[in-house]
Amino acid sequence: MEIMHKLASHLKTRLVELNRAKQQGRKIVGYTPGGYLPEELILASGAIPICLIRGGDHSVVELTGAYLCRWIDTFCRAQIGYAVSGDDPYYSIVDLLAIPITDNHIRAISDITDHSTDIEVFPFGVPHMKEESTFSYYLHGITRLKAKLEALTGTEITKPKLREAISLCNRERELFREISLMRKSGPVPISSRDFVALNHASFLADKEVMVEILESLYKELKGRIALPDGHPRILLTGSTLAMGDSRVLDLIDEAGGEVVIEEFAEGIRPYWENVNPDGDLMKALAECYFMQRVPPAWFRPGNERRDFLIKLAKDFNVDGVIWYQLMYRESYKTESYYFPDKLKRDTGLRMLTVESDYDPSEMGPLRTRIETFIETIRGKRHG
Amino acid sequence: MANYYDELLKICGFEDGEIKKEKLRIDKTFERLELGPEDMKTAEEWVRQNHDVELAGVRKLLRAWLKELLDMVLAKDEGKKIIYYGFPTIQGPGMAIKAAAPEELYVACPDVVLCHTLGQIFNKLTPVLEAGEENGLPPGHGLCTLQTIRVGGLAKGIIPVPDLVTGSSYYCDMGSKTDELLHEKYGHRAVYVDGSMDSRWGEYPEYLPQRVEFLGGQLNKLFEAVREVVGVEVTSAAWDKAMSISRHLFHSIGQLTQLAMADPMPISSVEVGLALQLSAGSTGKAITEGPEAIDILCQEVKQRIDRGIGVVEKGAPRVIDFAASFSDPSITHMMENAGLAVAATLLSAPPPKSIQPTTYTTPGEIRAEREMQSGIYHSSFGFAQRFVDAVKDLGLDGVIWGYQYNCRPMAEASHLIKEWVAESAGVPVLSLEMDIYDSRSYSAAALRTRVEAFAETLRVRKAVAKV
Amino acid sequence: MIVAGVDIGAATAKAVILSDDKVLSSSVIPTGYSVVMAAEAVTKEALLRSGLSMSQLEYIVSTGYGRRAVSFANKALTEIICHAAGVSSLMPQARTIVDIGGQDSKVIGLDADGNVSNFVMNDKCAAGTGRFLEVMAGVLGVEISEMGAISLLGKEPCQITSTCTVFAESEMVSLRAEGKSRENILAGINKALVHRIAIMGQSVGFREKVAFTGGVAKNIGIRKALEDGIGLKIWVPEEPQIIGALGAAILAKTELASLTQIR
Repeated sequence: MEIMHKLASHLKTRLVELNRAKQQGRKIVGYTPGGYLPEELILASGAIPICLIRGGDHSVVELTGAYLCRWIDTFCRAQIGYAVSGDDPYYSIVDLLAIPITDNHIRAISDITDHSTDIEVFPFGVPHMKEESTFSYYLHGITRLKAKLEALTGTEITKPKLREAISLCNRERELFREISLMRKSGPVPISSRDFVALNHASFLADKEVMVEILESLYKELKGRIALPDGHPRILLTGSTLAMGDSRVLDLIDEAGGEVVIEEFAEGIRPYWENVNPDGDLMKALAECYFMQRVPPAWFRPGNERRDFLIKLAKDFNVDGVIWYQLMYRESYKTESYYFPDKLKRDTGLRMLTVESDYDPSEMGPLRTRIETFIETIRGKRHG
Repeated sequence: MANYYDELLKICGFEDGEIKKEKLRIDKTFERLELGPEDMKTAEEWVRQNHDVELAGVRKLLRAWLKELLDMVLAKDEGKKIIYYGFPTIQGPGMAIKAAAPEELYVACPDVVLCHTLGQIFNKLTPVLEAGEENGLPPGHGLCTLQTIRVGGLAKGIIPVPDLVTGSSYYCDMGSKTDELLHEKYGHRAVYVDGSMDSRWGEYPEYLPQRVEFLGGQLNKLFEAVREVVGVEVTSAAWDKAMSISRHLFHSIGQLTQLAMADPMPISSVEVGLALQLSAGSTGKAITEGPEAIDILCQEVKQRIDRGIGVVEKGAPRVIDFAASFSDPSITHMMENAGLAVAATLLSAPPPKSIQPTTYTTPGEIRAEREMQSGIYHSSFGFAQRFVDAVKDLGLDGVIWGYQYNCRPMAEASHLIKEWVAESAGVPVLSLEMDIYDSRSYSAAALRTRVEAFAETLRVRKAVAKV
Repeated sequence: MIVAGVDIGAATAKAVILSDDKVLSSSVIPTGYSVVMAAEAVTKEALLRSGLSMSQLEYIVSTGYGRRAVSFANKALTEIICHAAGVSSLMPQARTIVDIGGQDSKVIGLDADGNVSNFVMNDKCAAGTGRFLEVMAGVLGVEISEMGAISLLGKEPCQITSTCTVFAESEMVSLRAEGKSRENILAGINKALVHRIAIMGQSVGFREKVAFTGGVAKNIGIRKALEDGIGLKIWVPEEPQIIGALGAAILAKTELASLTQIR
């Protein structure tokens, strides 16, 4: 697809662009993934948002041995590795690192970056339940963030500016949603690898360029007639699908499976809901980013997500679920014990759990598991 | 008529008449726990080796724990409504709920009870851990072993299924997730007391008032759930009652921890842990048996101090540890045998001096404010700062940072805490990856070499300082 | 029709040659460092034993962790699929397979047709694999082939509490220092290994009949510990090591048949 090339070349020059913008006095605000950071606030302050989503590299994880023990989520350890080593240009360029504190793994990024690097950190809490009081707490957090951004950039986040940013981000979400929904049944016009690449790109790209790219891609896909393929349709879910962590997607592909829908705490932009552009905009942001968002597994309880997975499995006509968790993210590990029963009961589908520490030696067993799973689904469909 | 458990129970402070009176309950409990004559032999040896049973106060403490165990195992049979809370816990709410209806309710932290009984007395926690591993929390993934004990205890039918559980959602993710796992399996209601640890490194003792209001509101909400589920109203009178009946307990514990800091250290940190953790695990026997047992122990410890008797030699390096092992006393003894006086644990260290009179009015907010001020649930920095304060306040020679590897709030800053404490307190810190609930992989033998080397360092440092 | 199944495991390479339903020959050799060479060598040895040549093989299925390196195979299938086929051909009533190999262990659930309905594999840790036994044999100075028989003499299995190979190793040392007998230690090791398998297999469930395959199935002590641990009788094929290769050969036959049909 030509559009994917266009996107790739935009990303290639992105760092140069960011450096130039920085020299011209623009602020660059980094944030950790998880979908709880309203980019609208950063955009409306005139700063450039960058979501730090790289992962998949074991050698970076190994760099963190001096900073914490190994019992923390692999992706989060990787972020610490990038931050403390100074090897990741995106970490080096940010003027502020905003961190929605979701669970203790993300908190590790905040504490260690704060203490052990020169990066300025701004943590704010994301509660683990949806109630009036938790809504207020989240709203208070993003209100503090707003003030922080205004102080950083010297720009007041006015209502018109915020509304403009909301409208841009809404359009981005809408396009992701429409493109994703094209995979609900029948032939799939866009591979999961491309869809995930778009998601990852959207964390780094210029927002307007990104929306343009999505617009033209959407048009192109609508006109395309895909050939029926008959590959087993897979729902891929889990904790983090980082940029650069493509092993599971590659292996599913090699084994002849087709991922038709992805659901992750980190790595896939939440695109199911839009922000209401009318009324109290801060409340509207909290409403969309916190209350309407399908929460990850660290929520208490986590049944909203599990019900959503069942719905996705049905809506997208999948043949099986692959649950990809990173080592030591205990909420995912624990849920992976009791979710398969519910999935089986409600849909008759089976689930394969795979786990990774970004270690290259896992490749063989990972391949065996995925190949067997796809093979047994195929056997069932034909048998 | 002798019972196979008479000898053990006597070592643990039971009297003849009492064993007779409780016989049916003991039989039933031990049967459910699969404790037979062979296990008594092991237990007798284990208790004699690991507990200072020549002290009547220690025997009474073991007795209190055993009686708590009977109450817990039989709670359902005896018609109680059952409420469990999670560890770490904010002290107070559990006590208040229990005080609201002491006859109707059984309120405890069941895994902590099993650690101090099946672990500290019977040395037979492994089957429970294995049952937990087989029922949802497999080994090798760094899952919380305290929660594994809870899952295993329920799976084996040792811990009765509760009516309501409440977890430390303000602190850890794993406790809540386990509550959810158990809810899926047994269907009981779970109330998550939520909060958010979103302070910056270095922020303590400052904090946002919103954190207090949020956590305080969550604690208040817990009482509504108690009313809905078990029909017990936790009024402010119940709070006052809980405060007044637990005052004696906390006063006694405070006195004991003070006395334990004498030089030579008159009593092992293991026994201080028995007293201290009783207040964390139990709301029943902690109140009815705890104060008397601890007061007796205090008297005995005073006598030892007067006579200059110690469990480690006078002048030994004095250290603070995170906590005495909940389930395996031999680990703390190993440290003491290496010549270290474990004078305090983070759980027993004196509260920060900065605590101000409260301006909050609801019980939940008052407790929440206290927790923010005390540091441990404030942030990892607050946690580290408490070590620093303790070293300075108590004039300690070193710190054993024995972090619970499978506890994310500790693991997330494991090395930072070491670095910060060493820099700020100016004393050597031993960072020790360990497990205070499950010593199968982190046994005294496995940790000994590092602890002995550390003890040597401290002794040399002390000797040099004298010159 | 003449087909072959080639199973390249981490420790050993296996080949089975099948003529219709009859096993013509089989061979087992150490894998060594070159997977490619092992694949060729083990196939040639099996061919030699049946007096056939490579060109007479109509279809070859490879399996095992080295399956993709078998350049002469027509198709590569995972060892899980192949074990299921192998076991089902010998014991159609089997509903569960416990396979413990050198590096991996697996529990496989089978449906009434002998197809894989569910499976789990060990995680990174070696505690539930043949490697665990190897390390322990080394520490105790026992031949691996003798481990099972000796362990059966242990009437009071020691409590091996460590679930990690590294920790268990140091535990062995202290148990020996305490004067515990080799027999009881070995019996304890078997129990510890089976505990890991029991945990792993709970999501699949153990249903009769339970087949036990892989190199470790030759260990009579583990067999007994497994029966005690899961509370079910187990069935061990005569040559538990070649089941994967046998299954691969059977699936080669099926593949060939369906290809012929299409033509």
